[in-house]
Amino acid sequence: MPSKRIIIFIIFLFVISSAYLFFVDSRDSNPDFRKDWWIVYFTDPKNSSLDFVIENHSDKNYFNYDIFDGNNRVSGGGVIIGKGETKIIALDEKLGQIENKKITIRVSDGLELKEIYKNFKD
Amino acid sequence: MSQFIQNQIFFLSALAFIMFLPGRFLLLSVFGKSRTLATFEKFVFSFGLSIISVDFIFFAYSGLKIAINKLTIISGILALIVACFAIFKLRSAKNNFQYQENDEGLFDFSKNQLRLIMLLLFLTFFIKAAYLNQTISPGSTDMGHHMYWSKLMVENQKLPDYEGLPDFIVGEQTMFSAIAMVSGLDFFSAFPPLVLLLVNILSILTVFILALRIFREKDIAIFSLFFLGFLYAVSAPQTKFVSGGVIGNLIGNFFLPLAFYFYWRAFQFISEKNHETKQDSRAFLALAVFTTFGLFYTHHLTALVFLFVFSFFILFFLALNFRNAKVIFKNSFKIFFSPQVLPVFVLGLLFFFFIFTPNYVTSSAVNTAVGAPSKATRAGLSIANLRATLGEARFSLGFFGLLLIFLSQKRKNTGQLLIATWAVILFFLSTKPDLFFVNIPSNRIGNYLSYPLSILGAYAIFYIFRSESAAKNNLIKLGFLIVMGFALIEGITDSAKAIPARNDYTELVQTFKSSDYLATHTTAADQILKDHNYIAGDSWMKLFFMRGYRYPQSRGYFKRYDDATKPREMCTLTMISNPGGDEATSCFSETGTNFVMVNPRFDSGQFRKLDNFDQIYISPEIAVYYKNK
Repeated sequence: MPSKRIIIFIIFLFVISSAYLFFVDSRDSNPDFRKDWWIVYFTDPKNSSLDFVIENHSDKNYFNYDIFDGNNRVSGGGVIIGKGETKIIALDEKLGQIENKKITIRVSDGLELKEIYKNFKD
Repeated sequence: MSQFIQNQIFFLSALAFIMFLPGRFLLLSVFGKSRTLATFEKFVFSFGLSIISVDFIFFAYSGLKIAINKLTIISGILALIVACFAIFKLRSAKNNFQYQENDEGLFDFSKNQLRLIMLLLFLTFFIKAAYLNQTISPGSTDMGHHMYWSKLMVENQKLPDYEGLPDFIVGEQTMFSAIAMVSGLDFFSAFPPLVLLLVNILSILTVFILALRIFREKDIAIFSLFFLGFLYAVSAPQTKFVSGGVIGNLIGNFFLPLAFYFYWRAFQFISEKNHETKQDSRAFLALAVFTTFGLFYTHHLTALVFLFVFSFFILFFLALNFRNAKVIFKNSFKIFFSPQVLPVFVLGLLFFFFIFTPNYVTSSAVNTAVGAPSKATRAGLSIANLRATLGEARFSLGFFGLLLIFLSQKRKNTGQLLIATWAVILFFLSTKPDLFFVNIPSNRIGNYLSYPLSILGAYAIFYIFRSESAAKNNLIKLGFLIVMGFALIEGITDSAKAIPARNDYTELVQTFKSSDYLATHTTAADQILKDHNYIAGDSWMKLFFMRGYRYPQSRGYFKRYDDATKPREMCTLTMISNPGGDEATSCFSETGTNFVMVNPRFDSGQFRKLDNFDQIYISPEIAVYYKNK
């Protein structure tokens, strides 16, 4: 029955396409696969907490951070974060009084600089 | 790896259970084991009938206020299968399947034809998969919108009200919800485009069957597969629509030829005096009516195209067969007012108007599609536009085929007249929409033409080179090679040009990551505004929140704010473009917007200079600002 052969062939082609495209999608949606990027964000965006997170999806492993009160550097440090890893950096205790200030966190991987900030000015 | 295999098994099993078995058993209850439909036809049509059957299961549950979930979907489908099987057994016991036609021979291809069909199918799949290889990950705008409603059905276990929006029709989303419920697969996976790929392939196979049945020439069907499947395999309305999530068009392009097939088989001998209103005609008309309701529940534009084509087909057919009008009406009356057709028609109407009515059946929605063209894009395509849309070779050969049908003695033939009407009406709808008082983007209608023109192009090729003398004439052989070579080069080049460069999806992953962050750190009381212009895959963000179709708010394409035909709200524009201005301040206050998500490469300077915004999240493509006071 030639038409049955065509049906089997269509099913075969679809199953192969499905398996391949599922594989491609799961590979491409992996944040680390052939990608080079990293993120910085506050653990809590709404309150006064200055704890922040560096999430690394790049090949760089060392990140340097500086904390600024306005233009004055008040604190800083460095962390090692592997690809696909996340690190929470707690700051609150180091900074003390933050009222009426703009606190900026600058993070660098040596090449690229990113910053997040919270504005506590009245 | 085991997760991957498990996902594949769940996906393919759900696909077979939801999109194949209901239709297969429905056909079994209608035709039994008769050969009225060939095995190949049963295979292809089972998918279309299954999609519609599952739609009606959803509607029935909605009417009966029964939750739509994994258990009820599986039970509903099993109940349908058991009911169809019981009908089949009962009718078999009474020897009730008195179908006479046996056309299995029409599908007996020679070895060479079989090889050619398989080669064309392989190339069709190959080109489509090559394109999807670069575009399979979720990101397209339309797909994001549709998957929101599908996910909402899964979460709420009922049909959505679409927040009054007329642009979404339930049949576009039900099968995705059913597959997600039964398989447990995430909408953020390859399954939505793969379902659409299957629908797209089925639409091509339906055209293949339609061409084979109407012309009764295997070569014409194979050439149709060549023009519609292999050539122009990527351009709209093919694989670009698959990855773009243009669901309504894709299902519409499957249901439209399917409905035509059933109508044609119901009425193909209607003008013959000795035509007996056999079970065949009634069964086919019942299936045609069922498919038509499925079409109206899925896509309004295709439904409109169907209405135009079908109405004009009836007019043309009656005009050409005027002398037999009395016989035609008499036979039609017998077929329509039969115990097979009437209940399907009445039940369909009951569902449509009393159980679940699509939102587009409102005056406002109808008004936007009917009337004088309101924009230049709706005023009709030029012939040059149409040639570019459809491909020079397909366009030229298709219209040559149309001319051949007009000049042929067979123009009164129901099937050939149907194909010709399909092409002619679409041609005028897309080039002269004012003739029909239609106000719809013309290029959307123009895309539909590729289906009938592929059949007509195949007919033209076959007609020119069919005779034995032509096969022996070197000049004609050379001509054939030149025509086919031109079509081949143009069709493949068209696909090759459309395949995008390799995408690493970094932008898309960043959008989803930031959406997940905001979904976790905000509540429904927070209002988020994001930008559609510079953020990849932003329409999918709403699937992270599930706080309404319009959540988060969106700054649309800039040109949309400058639409003379439709005054737009300006808050979404000004809150990002000039967040410190008076107008934006008032907008922030009115809308309660406190989070703004933009691409920092284009929109960050205006926020950084303001004291009332915190920059709380930063990645290369996404910056999130929080309005702190």
